Amino acid sequence: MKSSFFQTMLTGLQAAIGVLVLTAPALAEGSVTLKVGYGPGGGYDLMARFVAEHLGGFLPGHPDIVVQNVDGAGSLKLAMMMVGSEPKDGSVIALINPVVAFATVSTPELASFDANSLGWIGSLSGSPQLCTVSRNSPIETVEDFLGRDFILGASGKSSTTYVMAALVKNALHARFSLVTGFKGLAEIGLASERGEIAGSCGNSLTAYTAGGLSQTNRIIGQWALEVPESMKDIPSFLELITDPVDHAAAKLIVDTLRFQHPLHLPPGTPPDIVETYRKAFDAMVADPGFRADAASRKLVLNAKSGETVAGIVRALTGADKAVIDRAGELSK
Amino acid sequence: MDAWTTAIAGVTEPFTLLMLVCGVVVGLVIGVIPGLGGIFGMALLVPLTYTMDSYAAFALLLGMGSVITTSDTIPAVLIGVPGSIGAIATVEDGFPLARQNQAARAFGAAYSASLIGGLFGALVLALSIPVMRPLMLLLKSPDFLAISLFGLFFVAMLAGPQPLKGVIAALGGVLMSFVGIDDQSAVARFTFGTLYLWDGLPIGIVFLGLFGLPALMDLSRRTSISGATASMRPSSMLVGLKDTLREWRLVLQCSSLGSMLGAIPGIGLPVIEWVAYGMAKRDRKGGPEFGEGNIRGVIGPESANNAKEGGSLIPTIAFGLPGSATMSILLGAFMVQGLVPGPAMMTTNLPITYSLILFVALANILGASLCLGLTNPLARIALLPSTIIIPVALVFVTLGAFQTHASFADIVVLVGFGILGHFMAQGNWPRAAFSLGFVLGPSIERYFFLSYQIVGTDWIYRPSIQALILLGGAFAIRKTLAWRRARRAASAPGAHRISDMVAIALLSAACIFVIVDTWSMPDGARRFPTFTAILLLVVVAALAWQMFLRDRPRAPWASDATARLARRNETMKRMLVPVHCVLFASLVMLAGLVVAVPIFVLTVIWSRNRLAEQPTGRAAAVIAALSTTALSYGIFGWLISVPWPRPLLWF
Repeated sequence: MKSSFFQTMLTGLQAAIGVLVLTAPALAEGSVTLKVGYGPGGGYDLMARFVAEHLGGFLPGHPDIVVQNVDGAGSLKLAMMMVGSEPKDGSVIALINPVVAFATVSTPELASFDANSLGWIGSLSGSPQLCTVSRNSPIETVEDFLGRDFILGASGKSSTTYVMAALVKNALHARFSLVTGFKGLAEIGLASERGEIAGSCGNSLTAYTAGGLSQTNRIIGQWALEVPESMKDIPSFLELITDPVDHAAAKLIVDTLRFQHPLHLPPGTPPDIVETYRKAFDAMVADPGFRADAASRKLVLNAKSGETVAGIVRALTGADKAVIDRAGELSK
Repeated sequence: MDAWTTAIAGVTEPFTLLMLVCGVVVGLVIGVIPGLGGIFGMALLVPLTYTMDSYAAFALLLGMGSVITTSDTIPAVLIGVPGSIGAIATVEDGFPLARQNQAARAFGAAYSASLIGGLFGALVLALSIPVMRPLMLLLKSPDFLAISLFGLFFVAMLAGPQPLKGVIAALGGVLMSFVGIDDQSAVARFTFGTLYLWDGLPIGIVFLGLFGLPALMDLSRRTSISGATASMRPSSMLVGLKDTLREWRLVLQCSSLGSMLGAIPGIGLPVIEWVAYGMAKRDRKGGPEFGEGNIRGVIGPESANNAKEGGSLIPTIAFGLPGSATMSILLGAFMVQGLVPGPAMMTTNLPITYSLILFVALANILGASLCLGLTNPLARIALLPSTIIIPVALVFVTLGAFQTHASFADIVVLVGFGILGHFMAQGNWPRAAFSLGFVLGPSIERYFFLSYQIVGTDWIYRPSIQALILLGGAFAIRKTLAWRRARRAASAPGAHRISDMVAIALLSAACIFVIVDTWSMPDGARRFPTFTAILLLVVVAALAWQMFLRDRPRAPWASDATARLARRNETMKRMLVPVHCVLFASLVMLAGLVVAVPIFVLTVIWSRNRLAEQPTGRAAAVIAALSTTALSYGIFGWLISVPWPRPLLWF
């Protein structure tokens, strides 16, 4: 008796819900997922959530954009997922670290895909990366920085904090040693404040000003291809490299700083969808409301279009093999 | 106007108070749902704070974050499934109390301990404001290494009657924690070519599997949680309150511990919980054995986990260094509000810092009061038939795990660790020791390498390390002597089980695999896993010697065929729980949430009714199915920001 009741209930329920689900819009329909290659809370997450609030308004149909964190290996994990398993219908876009594009040529055994195959939508920022030291340390000039024995802190070996410091050490033959294993810039900052290390590289201008680093640290030099007017007085490491191959190799890595916080679609996405996203992105970054909102959140923007980003990536991946190999050596 | 007056004026704004209440309610709901936690809550609420002023924003966020560890006690006590990783130790004695029809007493004790712990954490935060920066600057990398290693010593307290099994479980946890991309060399360790494991095993799912699923498997052979039909006594809650007041020393000890360890980055909630449990376990004060419903086992962890919130705010405010994963998201809110953690929080932004203290204190009062008010109705859940509780709990456990990455691999990890947890519980392998190793492993490796890179071998001369060696040595000798005395006093050891032999064989094979697999890795990636595997192999060999040689004459192998058959049948019954878990997840992927939940709940109730002595009525089954569907869709379909995979059937 009971069994037949339950069976009838189940059949009825299945039929009713089946009709309901087929006639009602599906959960994911009309929405776009923006996957971000880092966990909640960091700069990438903040930028992704900021974009999610605005981009939908510039896309046809004004879809809701839902942010999903897919953290792992400095966003390389997400890039690999985008290449391998994400739908190519425009329902999923991603925000990754641009260093991943360099990893595809420097460490193809780990990042085994073609960065040119991604549908680049555009990038949101691009600022020089600074090397800073504690105000309590005796290092005051670039000469001190390159000639003295001291310790710099970094996160993992694939992080910007490591790559930018390794570049100084290897390309300019600096004497400092590099300690890895810190969990982010705050921990590096604390270690430098308590005197365990002298400072770090790979700090953005936002981290230096809005992040509070300026209170305890001083700037020694910068890695940049496009130096803002306000930073002209800061020594450029790139200009100090005399060896032409090393210079070209360092330039290759520094190129990735020009398209930070880039958005992209999976490889194989139809060109018209990529074009739609690119137009929406360009309209969004030109919108006064978007810019005002960014300013109110202390976000420093320097957007690049999808075409520009694709061009930078093409130049990066098409570089001479010897230069790429040297860039790989300099960043280790 | 001084800073306190400004802070109080900001906190008592009607909108700010409304946000505090909203935050507390959201936090309580998140705490009750297994698999969700502070990170989820912060990610959900931070975007809502962009347009708020600083007071309202932090009222919402801290209101939520401060009370999750209050309400996560509810599923921990009622069904043995921790609501968050902050309640894994509460399960140990809270769930047995519910089975003894004392759920209301456990709740009374837990909430009052949470309240005192939360207020104590806020007090510590208030008192530490003038000294927090200089104090934090005193601690260097070797000190953090010493603190992490000290946490491992508590394995001895949690090891149970077979200390070697405790050590093995802890080392096993350490080994498991090495899965993922290694920070030192950027090498993938034990990921078996899968992207999913690059970022390591997800801690929330591991603990949900290890502690949550075995509790449901255990429940599957009972008619209800309490096994009693007597009505709840309202006075039971007051008994719990009195228990907490009577144990005021323990409450203060564990609250201090929670707020101090909370300030150390990398020392997660599970460590604080188990260390507090270890402290409570030193003396059972005439109560039942620990693990059988000793109220001290509830009071200790609950006072510690709520005190942690205040503690973890210290490094966040002072240096922008998050004391926990939840705090790292709170830092994002600091940036949005234009606040820079550091000296300015002690000077120009001092009113904001004071307001954070007030929010933590008020949220704890509000959260504990709401939970105390709901104690008696909630405690009645313990009287519900297990035929209803199991499918409903499974829905939330599975969805809670599934939302982590919205990947089927989440379910594989959940079920894998669920089965591991079941066999560990059956074979007296302490899961608490495993959790300590799992949480502390990465901190120990990281702080070791940092210390070694910065000061070379001089780290060993740091006073904290030397104090730790002395303390640890004395502690180990004392415990070894106590165990030897206990062993001599005990009668002949019980019969060995085949499962122990299998475990020894599997562990040995795993160690050899780790040693071989890491052989070709760079030094930084290889050193810790290899060392741990060799150590584990030695301890496994010692256990094998104990079992096969030393104890053999006194302990015949269990060979009763009838008993073995009965045990096998029971195991098969329990294994239905992980099977249901996989089936439900498959159904969600196939047909979507709205279809999968009612079908699953009704089907499981129907199939369990066929075996149950007291079948669930039709109306109760339909109500359970519909309310679970509505609730799960509300939380996981509407509220949650994780996009679910599109159902295969409809696309």
